[in-house]
Amino acid sequence: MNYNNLNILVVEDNQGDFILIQEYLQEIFITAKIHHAITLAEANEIVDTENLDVILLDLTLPDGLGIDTFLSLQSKAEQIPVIIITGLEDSKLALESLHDGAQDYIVKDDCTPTLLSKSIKYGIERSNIRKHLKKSEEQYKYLFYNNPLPMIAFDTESKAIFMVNEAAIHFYGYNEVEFLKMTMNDLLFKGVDNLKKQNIFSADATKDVKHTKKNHKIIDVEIQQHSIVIEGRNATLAVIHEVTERNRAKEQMRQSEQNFRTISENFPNGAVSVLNKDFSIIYTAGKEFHINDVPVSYFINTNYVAHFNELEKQKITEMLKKVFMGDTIVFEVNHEDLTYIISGVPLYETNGSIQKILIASQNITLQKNNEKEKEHLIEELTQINSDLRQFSYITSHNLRAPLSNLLGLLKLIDLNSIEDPTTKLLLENFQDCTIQLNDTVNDLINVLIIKNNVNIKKEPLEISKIFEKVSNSIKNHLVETETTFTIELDHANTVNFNNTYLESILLNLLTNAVKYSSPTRKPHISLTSEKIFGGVKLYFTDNGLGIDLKRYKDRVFGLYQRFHNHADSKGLGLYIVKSQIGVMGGEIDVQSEVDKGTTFIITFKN
Amino acid sequence: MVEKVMCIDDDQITLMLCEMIIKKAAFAGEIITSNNGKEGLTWFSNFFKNKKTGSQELPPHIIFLDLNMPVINGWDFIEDYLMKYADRLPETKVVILSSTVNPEDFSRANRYDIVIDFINKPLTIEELDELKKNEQLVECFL
Repeated sequence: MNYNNLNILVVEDNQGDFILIQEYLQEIFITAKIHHAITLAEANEIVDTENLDVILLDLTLPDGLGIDTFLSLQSKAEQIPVIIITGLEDSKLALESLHDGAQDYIVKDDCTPTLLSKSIKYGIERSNIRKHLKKSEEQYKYLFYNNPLPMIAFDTESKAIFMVNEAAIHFYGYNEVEFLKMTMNDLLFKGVDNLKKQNIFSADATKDVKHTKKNHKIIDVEIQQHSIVIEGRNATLAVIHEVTERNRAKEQMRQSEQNFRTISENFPNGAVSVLNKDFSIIYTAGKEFHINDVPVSYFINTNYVAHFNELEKQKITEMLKKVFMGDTIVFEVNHEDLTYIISGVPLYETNGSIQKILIASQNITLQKNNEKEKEHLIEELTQINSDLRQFSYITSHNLRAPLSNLLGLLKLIDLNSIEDPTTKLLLENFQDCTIQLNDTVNDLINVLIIKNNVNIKKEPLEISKIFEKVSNSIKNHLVETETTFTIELDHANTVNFNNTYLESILLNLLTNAVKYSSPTRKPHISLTSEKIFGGVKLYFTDNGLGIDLKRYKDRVFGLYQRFHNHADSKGLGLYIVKSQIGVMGGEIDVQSEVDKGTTFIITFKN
Repeated sequence: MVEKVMCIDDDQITLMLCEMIIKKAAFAGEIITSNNGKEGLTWFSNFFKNKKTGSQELPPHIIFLDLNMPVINGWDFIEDYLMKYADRLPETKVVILSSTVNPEDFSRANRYDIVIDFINKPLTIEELDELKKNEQLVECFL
């Protein structure tokens, strides 16, 4: 730097002192331009208009005293180095001004041209260096504050945060004031244990940690740490990258890998294998291999087919070829005493070709044996059932044969021709007993035939028509008992059922309703229906004696169950009704209240 | 009225009842009886032998046939009869008269054209009156 052409301002109210300094200056810097100000106001004016290189300042001025003089001037001309010229009595004050940014101070009595020259030159140089430093600090601050990545500077020792950038404020949700009261530890997720905390802060290292945002959201971050000195303190600059998503993806990968391993390694009663085009095993795992007591590694890179019996090899080879053609296969293989079910699926590459296939084999020997046993049992049961059925046919036949003879004989006896009244009475009773026996036998045979006729014919039937036919058949009885009806079958009238059975069911329910009517009410029967999913529901309601369902619920439809003391009650009707409905795939249910009435609900399947 | 009927049954009371009822219902002029299928077949065998020697005896128009019988049962009788004699006696029909409850018997009866009815025992006048209306017999009762 050329010091000769310096532009110097001397602020000095003592004329004598000024002249001395001016002489010195002119001696040192021959062509320097020297401005003189007597007051602070004058000095300010010159600072505004002149491009000054250095200011020499006396601290005692008419319009300013002490350190304030310096400060007011420096605030106006920050970049211009200021050297304090002072009397001996002010030296303490001058020292103080150094602290506040003055470049140097010279005691007037000690002032020599050499000292002055050195002081000015050093002052200018120092000021230049400071300017440069300040610029670079500004640049780094710019980089810090405007960095899109969250950055935090903290005290390396205490972890106290003393600088944060906008990105960090935005990222964590704390404002700057809040941040500056926190330490780096405050950001850590509370679940991190202390031992781990120690490891997190390690200068010039990159660490993965969990942080908690102000909104309590827990995030995974990667912190890059650099140790730096900022404003004289040992600090750490932390750059924060959020890695929550990355870690989540990693964790998902890990879990799916683990799932896959768990599934394959625990594949029950068998094994899964991945095969190459030459049928060599790339991967295999499972709970059971058809060759016992060998480690999984034994199979790797061996030919899959080679592990089976000679008899089965050709079949397996053909099947595996099919899978490589794109087929999915399932077949059974016998190996010694065991049976395996083997299934194979192609594994498509992204380009659609099949380079590998997945084969699963499972030991189904137990199931096979169970199946055989079951078949055998079914065969036996079928035989027994058939035998029993034949037995029941023969028994009924043998029972009916003499009974029909009795009936035939009784029909031929002309009771009027018998004169002895006792014999006549005996014969009449004999006749009643025989008819009763015949009815019972016939009822039982009906039950037998219903149970055995699974393939009975179904046809679409109109409930209203069948009911009309049935009620006509006992018309006299209905008139006698003054039975009335409410019939509302418009919602659903057609059912798919067997004609004879529907007649029998409706007749049974109808005669029951009349037979078990209340002695104090004339019988009333209501018949309604509704469409339901997959069928029709028929409600057959009477106002009769009712059934005590608490006592009889399980027995209402049982064989030989009677709930009222009626002479001609056999306990067969509802059993037959239920059997006939059951054979047709329907259901019957009952609701009843004693002395109120009974509703039978029949569900007909479509 | 038909000329002649045959009753095949191993039960003597049934045979007696049949005779009485058939007569009472004025169903047939003559009733012949056999105690089982074998006797029935023997009757037809003799019938054709006698015919060769000039007998003018008439064959039965209807055979009332029981199913459960010793030696040769009803079904065996039908099989044998169809093989040996049915062709020569196109007028003769079979009515099953049985106490069976086995559904297979009913469906089997349906398979033979020669069987024109299946009556559950006991045979009654009402059943016979019904039978008279059978289209294959109706001519006999005009």
